[in-house]
This record gives sequence, C-alpha cells and structure tokens, in this order.
Amino acid sequence: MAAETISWISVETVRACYTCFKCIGVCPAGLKPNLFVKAYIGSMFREFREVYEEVIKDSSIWMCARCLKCVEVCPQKVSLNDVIEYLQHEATKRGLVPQVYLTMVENTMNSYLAFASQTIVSRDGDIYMTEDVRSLLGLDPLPEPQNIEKFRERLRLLKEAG
Amino acid sequence: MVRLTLFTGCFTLVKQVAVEASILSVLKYFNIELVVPRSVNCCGFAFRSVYPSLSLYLTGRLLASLYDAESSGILALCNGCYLMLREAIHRLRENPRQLEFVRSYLREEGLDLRSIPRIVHPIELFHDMIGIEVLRGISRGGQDRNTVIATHYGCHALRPSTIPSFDNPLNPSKMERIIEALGFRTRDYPERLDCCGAVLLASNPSLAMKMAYSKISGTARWGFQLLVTTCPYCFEMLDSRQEAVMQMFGDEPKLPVMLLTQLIGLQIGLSEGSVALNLNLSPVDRVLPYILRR
Amino acid sequence: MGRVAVFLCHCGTNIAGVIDIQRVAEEIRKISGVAIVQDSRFLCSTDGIESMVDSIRSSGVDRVVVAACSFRTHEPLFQNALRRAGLNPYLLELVNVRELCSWVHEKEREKATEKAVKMIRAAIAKIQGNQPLERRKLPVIPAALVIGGGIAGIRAALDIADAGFTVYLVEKEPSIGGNMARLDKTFPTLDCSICILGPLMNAVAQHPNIKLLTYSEVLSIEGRVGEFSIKILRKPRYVREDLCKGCLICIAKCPAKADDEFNMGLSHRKAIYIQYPQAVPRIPAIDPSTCFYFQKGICRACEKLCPTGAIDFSQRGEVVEVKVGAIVVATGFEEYTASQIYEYGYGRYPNVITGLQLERLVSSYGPTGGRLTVPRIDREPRRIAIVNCAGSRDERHLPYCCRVGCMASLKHAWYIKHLIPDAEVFIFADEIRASGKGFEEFYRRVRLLPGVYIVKGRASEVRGNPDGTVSVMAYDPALGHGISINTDLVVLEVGIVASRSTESVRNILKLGVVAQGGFLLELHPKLNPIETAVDGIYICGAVAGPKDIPETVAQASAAASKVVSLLSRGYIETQPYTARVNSELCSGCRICVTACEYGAIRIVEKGGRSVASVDEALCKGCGACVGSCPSRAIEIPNLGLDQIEAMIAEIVR
Repeated sequence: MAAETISWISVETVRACYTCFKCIGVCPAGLKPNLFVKAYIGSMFREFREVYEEVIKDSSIWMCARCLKCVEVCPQKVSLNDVIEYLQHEATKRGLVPQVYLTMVENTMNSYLAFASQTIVSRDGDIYMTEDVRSLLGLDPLPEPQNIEKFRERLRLLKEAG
Repeated sequence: MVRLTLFTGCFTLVKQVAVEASILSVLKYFNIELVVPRSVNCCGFAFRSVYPSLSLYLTGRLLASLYDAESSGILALCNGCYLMLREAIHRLRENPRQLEFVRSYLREEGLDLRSIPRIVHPIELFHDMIGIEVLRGISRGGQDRNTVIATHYGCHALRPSTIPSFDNPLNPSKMERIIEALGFRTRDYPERLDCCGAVLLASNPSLAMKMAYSKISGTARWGFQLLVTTCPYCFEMLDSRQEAVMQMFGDEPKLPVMLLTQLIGLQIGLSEGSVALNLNLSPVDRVLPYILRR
Repeated sequence: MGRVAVFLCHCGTNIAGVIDIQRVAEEIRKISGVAIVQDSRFLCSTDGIESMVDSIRSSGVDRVVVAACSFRTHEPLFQNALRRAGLNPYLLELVNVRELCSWVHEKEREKATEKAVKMIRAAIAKIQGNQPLERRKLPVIPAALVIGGGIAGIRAALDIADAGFTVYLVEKEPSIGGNMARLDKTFPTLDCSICILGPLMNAVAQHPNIKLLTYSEVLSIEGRVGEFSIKILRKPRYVREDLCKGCLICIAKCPAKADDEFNMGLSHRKAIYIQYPQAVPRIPAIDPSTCFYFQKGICRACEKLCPTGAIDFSQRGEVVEVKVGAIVVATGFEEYTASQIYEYGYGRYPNVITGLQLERLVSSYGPTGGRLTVPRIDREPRRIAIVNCAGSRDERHLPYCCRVGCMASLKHAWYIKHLIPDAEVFIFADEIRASGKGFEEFYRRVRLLPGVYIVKGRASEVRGNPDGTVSVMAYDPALGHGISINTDLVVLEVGIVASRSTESVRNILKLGVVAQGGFLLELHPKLNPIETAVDGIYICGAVAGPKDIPETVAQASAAASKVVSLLSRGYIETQPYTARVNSELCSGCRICVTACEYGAIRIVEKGGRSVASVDEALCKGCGACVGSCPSRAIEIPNLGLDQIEAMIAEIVR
C-alpha cells in the first residue's frame, strides 16, 4: 500500500525541463542533474529504457549531496531533488543501496537513533565517549530506548512497504 | 516567557554535543524555557530515499510526540531535521492518503497528528523571537569591531524554496543582522551558499571532504576571521574535520569555526566551558582575542 | 406573437458532430410561433447567407433565431443578412450552441442535444419581446492622442499627421526618442541607431500637425471613441520654451549631481539637463529633487548665465485639456530588475552590467564617450561574458522569451570585437533565436569572428574573485565539460517588461494587462493585435509585448492606419444597447448612479420629480444599473428583465 502513497514527483514540473544545463554548472559534486531528469522522462519510451536502467545502476546517483542548488536555479522549477530521490529508491528496490544507510536504519530500529555512541575528541587531544562528554557538560544522558520492540516491528513493516 | 520544545536530532545527541550545550546555556540567559521531550527518534533524513514510507513515519512521529499545546513551537537544532519536519507538514497537508497512512501507524502508540506545530530554526529564534534590539543590547563593547565574520546558513535551512522558510533562499540576511547586532562586521562572499558536503559523508567520504575543502579554502581567501554556523553536520565538516580536510589537499587548517550560539554565548559573558568551546577543533584560539568582551 | 424563423448551423462537425441537428429541428418545429426551421452546413458561407436571406423573405417571418457560434465571430454578418432581407437587424437572437454547448460537452451528445434545445427555446421566448432598434451616428473629432514618444509613438504620430489630422504626442521624459535613443547600433544591419531615429524626431518636432507635449503626463480621460476628453499635466521645466535657444550654457555651471537615468545609472547628470545631445526638443529641464535652489534655496547659477533669461523658477505645472477621436498607447518597455536574479551577481559586483548599460558604454554620447571600460574599475576588459536569458524563460522571474535578447547578444559580441579587437567573448545561451530577416546570416557573421565562443548552455552562476575578476560557471555540452570562465566583464541580456508608466496609463484608460510583464492586452492575439477592448484605443510597440524595431514600426503604422480610417470616416455608429429609464417607475433613489462605472447616469428634474437619466454617449451597456435598480425602472432594450424571465422559465421547464 505504501509505495503508491509515497510519491514525490510532480510530473508536470519534471517534464518542463528544456535542457538548459544550468543545473550542471551549479552542482558542487559535478553531477548532471538534467541527465537524471531526461532519463526519467525518457523511461516511458522503449528506446530509452536501457539507458534508464543504466542510470539507476550507476553509482553517480548516490553522489548527490542534496545541496538543492540545482533546484533553486532551475528556470523551470523542476524538482530535481525529487527525481534523484526517486532514482535512488528505484536503485534500492533493485538491491543497489550503500550499506551505510541500511546500517543507520538498523540502528534506528534498535535505539530510536541512527547513530550509536562514539568517540569525541577535544581540542586538547583528549578522547572521550559520548556519555562522558554529555555528563561533563551537564547534559542529560542519552535516552533509554523504551518500548523498542513494538517500534522495531513497526519499522520492519514499513521497510517492507517501501 | 517563550517556551519551545527542544529537538536536538541524533547527530547532536551523540556527536556534536556542543550544539546542545551552547544553546541550553544561552537560552537560559534569555529566559527561554526549553521543554525536553520524553520520546525522540531519528527524523529519517539520511535514508529518506531508501525507505520513504519509513522516513515519513519517523518524521510524523516526531510531529506528533513533540507537539505541546503550551509550546510556541519545536526548536530544531539540525538543518536536516528542520527540513524534514517542515517538509513532512507540507506533504501531509497536501496529501490525505499519506496523512492517513502515517496516522494509522501512530495510532498504535496512542499518538495522532491533530495540530501543526511551528518549526523554529535557531537563526529565526534569535532574529525574530528574541530580536535584534535585544542582541544589540547584550553586546557591550570590548570586541574588535573590525572582525569580519562569514555566515554559513547551510543548505537545508532555506532550500528548497517550495517549502516556506524564514529567509530569502538565494539572498538571506537574518544571520548577517545578528552578527552586526553583536557588533561585528560581515560581508557577502561567493561561497556563502555553498554546501559543506556532510550528506555525502555516509556514501562518499572523499567527495564530501573535497566539497568541504572548496568551502573552507574558498571562504578563507576573503580574509574572514571566523565562520559561524548553526547546523551540527556543517559544524562536523567545517570544524571537526577541518584538519583532515585541509591536509588531504596539501593545505593546513586556517579558518576558525564556531557555532552561532557559541559566539552569542561568549558575547553574553558565558565561559568557554559552558559553550563547550574545547570541543571546537578548528583554530578558534586565533580569533578569541578579537571577539571576547573585556 | 411574432413569427420566428430558426436557422441551425452544423458548422461542419463542430456542432453537428456532437449535437443531433435533426432532433433539435424536430423539437423546435413544435414550438408555437416558429414558422420555419432550416439547417445548413456552414451558415456563414455565401451559400448559407443567401439561403437565409431567401428563406426570411419567402416565409414572411418578422424575427430570426440563429443557433450557431459565438456572436463575436459572425453577429455582424447575420445582422446584415436580416437587413438585406428587409428586417431590422436587432430582431435577431444568436444562440451559441458551439462554444457554450458542443465544444464543451463533446463527450455527452445526448445531454448536449437536450441543452441545445433548451437554449434555442429560451431564445425564441426572448425574441418575442425584441423591438426594432436603430444605431446612431456620432461624430468623430479629427484629432488623435499618442501616449509615448519612443520609436512607436513617433512613427504613429507621423503617419497620422501626414494624413492631415492633428496629433497630440505626449511624452513623460523631457525628450522624445525612448529606448531606441539609448542604443548604439541596431541589429542585424548595424545601422547607427540615433542616425536613423534622429531625422524622425526632427520630423515630429517640425510637423505642422503634431503638437509635441514633452515632460508631460496623461492625468485623466473621459468620453468615448470619437470624442475623448483628456487632461494632460505639463510638468514645469522651469525653463521658458519660448525663450530658450538651446545653447546649454546653463548646464555647464550647475553644481548639483544626480544619477543619469538615460545612461542607466552609469554616470551623473546635473540638476538642469537634457537627456542626450540629440534631444528633441533641445530645451533643458530642471529636476527640483536635486536642484540646489529648490532643495536649499541657494545657487541659481543657470539663471545668471542664461543669455535670454529663459530660466523661470516660478514656472508652474499646467493642466491642458484636449479633445481627440482616438488614442494610441505606445509607452514602451524597460529592463527587468537584474538584481533579482541573485545567482548572476548584478548589484553585488561592479563588473556585471545589463545589455542596455553596455549600449550606453559603447555609445559615442554615453558616459565614457564610446570607450568600453569596466564601470568603476575603469579598465578595458579583455575577456567578456554575455549571459543570455537572464530572467527570461524562467518560472522564477519572467516566464516568456524576451524576443530580442539573442540578437542583442550577437550584436554586443560584435561591438566588443569591433572596439577591442583582442578581446575574448563568451556567449552563454542554451538556444540562439535568430528568426527574422537577415538574423541567421548575422548569427553566422558573429560566429566567424575570431575570439568569440558560444557555449550552448545557460550560465549557472557568477562568482567574484579576490582579484576583481568574475568567473562564470556553466556546462558546455559540446565539450561535455563543466567550465568556469574567468572574465573582466559580464553582460546580462536581461528580460524586458512593460515600462512602469504603463500601469497608471492603463488604469486611466481601463485597459487590460497580461499578468507577467505588465504588457497591454490586445483585442485578439492573432487577428487584432492593435485594437483593445476599449473602442478607439489602440496599442503598438513593445508595450503590447516584447518585440524588435521593425515589428514595432509595423505595429505603429498599423495603429496609425486604424486611427486614420476612423478619423477620416468622420463618424461612428453606436450599438443601441444603452440603458433607458422608465421615469414613471423611477423613484430617484440614485442607486444606479453609484452602480455606473462610467458616470453615465445623472439625476434630472422631470415632471416635478427627480428621476435618473442616462447619457447615451457614455453608457457602455454593461447592465450594472439594471441589476441594481430596486424598482425595475431602468432597462436595456432587447435585454428586458421580462425577456430574461421568459428565458429562465423555458430553461427550468
């Protein structure tokens, strides 16, 4: 049920792309956002399906830093960020997703937070763990994950939903 | 008396604790009551494209569990969380099916989405809620007024402009006004709106570092003495990793970086310890003589 | 009860493809009062009309219902047919079963047919109440007003004046000439702009039929086509036009400084000034907001120096009233606010300028006397970037194409290579639109210049460098590479919008505008680009939409031709749809007076009572008064309330 309820792309704006290349010139990661757009638009035509699949399998879609500059300068207000996220999701469905994101979801399922306690270094070179620094600064300790089993189950269902 | 619900986000809780420590110290001075919520979770920003429904649920859960009828809003310390919360409000408003989907999972916990909280950004808090005049009042001189400070809003505070935010996405000015009210100079610079690269730390660390290098070295060549930001991820790239970033490109750390709350805290007269300045890994010692009140 | 003929048009398949004409005919024949029902494939064809005229004559009907297209297409045609058949043309009802029925209900034929029957029944019920009406002939004043003294206004004024009519040419600046006077050369021929404009400006000044009112603005207008009364404010120059000889000694010693708007803010002018050396009329004006005398009560140097004593600080503005038969609006364009396009750095870097600013820099009578230097840095640029579509074709700024930017960018590349032969010029454009006569050839000519490189991608960003240069970031699709071009000067070909004075003019004249850009709305984009919804008011030039000089001049002559046609005919025929008061029923409550937007209703004494009275010349037949009257005392002939009630009764049956 979930996959259709979660749809980002406003198709009207995506088709408005007139390939002016302005997005490419502003991308700090050196990506070609309008290539992703044209691949998406072309995906409905049989001649372009192969290229579309190649684009999804290519690692470059995971190189987007989400800086959103392309979206801001696009003269046709194409929601380029939505297109890239859609392609990333398509890649995920084909089993191609950087492991680190799966790890973050695992962490969240186990503790409500995407990150586990880690080392923190001070300017003087002292090494601490999260809990130590928090207590030294007088901050509350990390929250205890209560009712985590039900939460974990909910997230498991949601993962399947997509 | 303004009351806000504090939402730190996972990264601040676990790594960039200075963000939390400094804002708690500073807001005590301004008499802003911060409510610490009972139950928090990750907002889902990092993996929103991998598991979109899961992500939307996580953000929806925050909107529901952080809502407090007596609070003026949710103060989101991290730019990523700030965007997720506002965007979720926008999406759930526009799309009844998605709203119902999220609510069905929330109901299992006895939560619901009935009222829409205001999501507040730290810059908005200082400029709009506390106010420029109050900030001007705390700055009682002693600093070197020629100190030029670079502002870094971060990408997700104001972009995309389809989701309303607190300032003009391509030409913001609120952080500049805060800096000037504190008694310092600031100026526009070509790299002002450039990205720190943090989002890529997960999947492509070398590209992330390259972006951080462009940002730091580009900014430094304009003669700024300090860069300020509010976002824990931007702080991670520009401050915590500055040494690694610069060395990767045969350069050396050259730009002191602070959180806006640290700068404000020092102006109020708070100790370096209470704004966790010892956790800043960029060369902040260089700039301290210029910005401390005598 | 009148005898009605009903004509049904198939309009090919436009109507007949959806509506079952035969069924409609059957239903209509059953109605009492309907003498004949006839259908035709194309009623508007010569065939169709002839057949209609014959049928009317032979059937002896006294009124006609036509079920066809919109009255806006063929009403005059059918009215004429009635006239030829010996009937009063106002005993006609047009039922629009195309735009209002078949075209909007294409998928629902059953329902569309039923609806058509209802519409025609209603029309038949209504037409029983129609009276024969006559059009009136009203005189037309043989004079015209042209608002705007740029090339469009100049051309229109000259054409109308040459035809023998008086023309009042009103221009808000101290000199005529408009934007064309700012250009150095015109594309694609590279004619010197002022050299071809100047003679026309002089012709205007010397033409016996043209009354030139510069430094003036239209305040108000009343009346109707054929007889407009216009109040014009002649702003005080503080210089007596009858005494000034144009020697310009007054300007030399003026100590005050102001931004020179003619030079697009690139230089300063004095408080007493003429806009440029070839100004017409060659009479300075004093700008009181910067003049030392008006601001601080000192100086008066110009007065002391003037050999003819023409300076007169006591001069007052004067309101002049003129009466004309027709008005031409030619208020032109201006550049969009380039600073809004934040990523291009206009306003943040001194070496980012607009296209018109470049024109001023290379112009021999511009701020640098024709030397191309970077503003404020005053160094000759070696590498120049030209950024096309700055703010145009952009949903965030102006969605439309500015039409002249591509050609202007090529012309600008040519200027730069001509003035600085070693310069390197980069044009950033995702498309080059060169569709006019000689345009593509000019494009090739510019491409052949060595040192000119065209990047087929839009400029993404302009970023400053510590050494004062600016870099333009883009992607060159031919090379497949992102590029960062370091330059000394960036020229933005900014989009264009209607000039800011258009807003007040259009409010005064009650003309429609397009939301984006503020351009004035024409009557029909294809078939009538010159007339407006207001009879007697015509538009031409860039105020009607972005265009270049040849198109502007063509439109100006077109407007003039329409004006001359109106003025030389000498009269207009009014539509008889003007409100009439039944003074028996009128209580003099004045509600209609307030309801009337056109001030056409007055209260008069009649038979010892105060009743409303309508001035037919001002009444536009809008019906607001009819709707507002509580006593049903005011009505428009053939649009009576009882007729409308009869229509409603038929529809709800």
